Amino acid sequence: MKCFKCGSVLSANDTCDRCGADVSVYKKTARLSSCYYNRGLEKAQVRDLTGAIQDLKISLMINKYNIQARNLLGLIYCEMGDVVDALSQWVISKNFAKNDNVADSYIRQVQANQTKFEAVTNSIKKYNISLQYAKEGNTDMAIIQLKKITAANPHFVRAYQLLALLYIKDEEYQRAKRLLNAVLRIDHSNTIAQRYLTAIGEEINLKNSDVTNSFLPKKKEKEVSSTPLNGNDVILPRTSYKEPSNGAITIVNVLLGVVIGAALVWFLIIPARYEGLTADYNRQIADYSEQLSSGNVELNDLTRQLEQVNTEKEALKTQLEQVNSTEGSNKYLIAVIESAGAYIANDSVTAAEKLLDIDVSALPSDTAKTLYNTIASAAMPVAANSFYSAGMQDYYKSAFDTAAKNFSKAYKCNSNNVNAAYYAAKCYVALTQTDNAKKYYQYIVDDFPTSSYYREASDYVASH
Amino acid sequence: MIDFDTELQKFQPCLEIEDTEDTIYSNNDVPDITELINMIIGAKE
Repeated sequence: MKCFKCGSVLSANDTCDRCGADVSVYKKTARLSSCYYNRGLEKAQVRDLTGAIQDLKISLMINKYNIQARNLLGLIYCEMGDVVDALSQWVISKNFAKNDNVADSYIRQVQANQTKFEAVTNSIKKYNISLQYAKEGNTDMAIIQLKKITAANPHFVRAYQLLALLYIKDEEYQRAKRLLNAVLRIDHSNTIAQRYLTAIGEEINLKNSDVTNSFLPKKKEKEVSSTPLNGNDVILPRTSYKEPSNGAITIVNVLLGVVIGAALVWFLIIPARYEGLTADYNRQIADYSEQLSSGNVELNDLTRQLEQVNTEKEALKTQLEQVNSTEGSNKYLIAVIESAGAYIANDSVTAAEKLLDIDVSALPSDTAKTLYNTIASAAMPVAANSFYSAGMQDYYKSAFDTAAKNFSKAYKCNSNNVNAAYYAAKCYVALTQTDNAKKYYQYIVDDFPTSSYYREASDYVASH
Repeated sequence: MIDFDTELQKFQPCLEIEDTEDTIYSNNDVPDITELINMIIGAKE
């Protein structure tokens, strides 16, 4: 024992050898504190944790520097799930005695597993929330939370007690009993747990007596052991399954199962299978339709191409026929060749006559056009005079038909010959071919306004 | 029979980790019986 003033070790005397302080009272209080610590230790050793806490608190109230009492109190708090209270005691203890203090080891052990430490501190927070729920009348929420808390922190005595109280309120006595027995396994003399168990026993007895006095048949009550379970006991979950009582029920159950199975197959599986097949068929039909449509499109394209090819073929065939026949440009070319032949034979009239009906622009080549121009320039004037002379002879013979043809040719050969045009018109008038007559008079009106035939021509055109 | 409300009021919130500091510091300020007796004796002398 050390002096409370100077800290020196005290002797058997009532005064301190170093500072001379009176330590008689201090010695008595220190012994009393140690006495309570010893009682607390004894109770803790037999798991009377509630009693141990009471003694250790008295011990610390007498001498708050009793390190052993404080450390043991923290250890008991830790065992009962109050880890924060335990840590507080150990921190205070370490503050009072920094050296050779087992509290240092306890703190390190608690802080070593941070995950578990956080889980425990969270369960303490949830307990406070649950307590708040319960005080606000929200017992369902409180029960849900407390179930989780007891699962996470299985030594949390206060959570067990509160949950048991809530179960008692809901008259779920068996559950409450199990929880209270769990509390008693941790703390054998837990006052609250024992009081609740007593109350539950009284309540059950009261109910049983009520049932006994009634006319109803007595309900069987399962015996629940009130003794605390030890570590080797196995708790089996309650089950509602019962074996069938006889073979007939088994057969009926089997037949019922077969019928239900067949019904399931008939109403669920077969329609689904048919539906699947129908879907496959529909898909195939859609594929075939698509292929058919694309085939039709290709067929239409080919038909159109065939028609185009036939049209082109006909056009080419026509062109080929025209080339091969004496029509068109080929006809003009033949006429030019015949005209050239007549011109070479010094027959200018025949040569010019062959050229009269040729359309120069329709000739197929420049060579042919050049040949045409050469023959025309050489033969046309000669032929014009010849046709005109022949025409005059026929005119005087009153052979107007032949005369008209010769005058027409003479005018074609030489378009400056107004006489040829005039007499051609006169011949057609005589032949009563008014249109032809008018055509040649019109030439005179258009091209020879100074001619002596102009008045007569214009009068005829105006009057016809 | 247990009175639920009365019993419920006996339950107090647990000390949470955030509140430990106040608890530890306040413990130093509270004298124990030994200190009180020594104070009384000192006052008499």
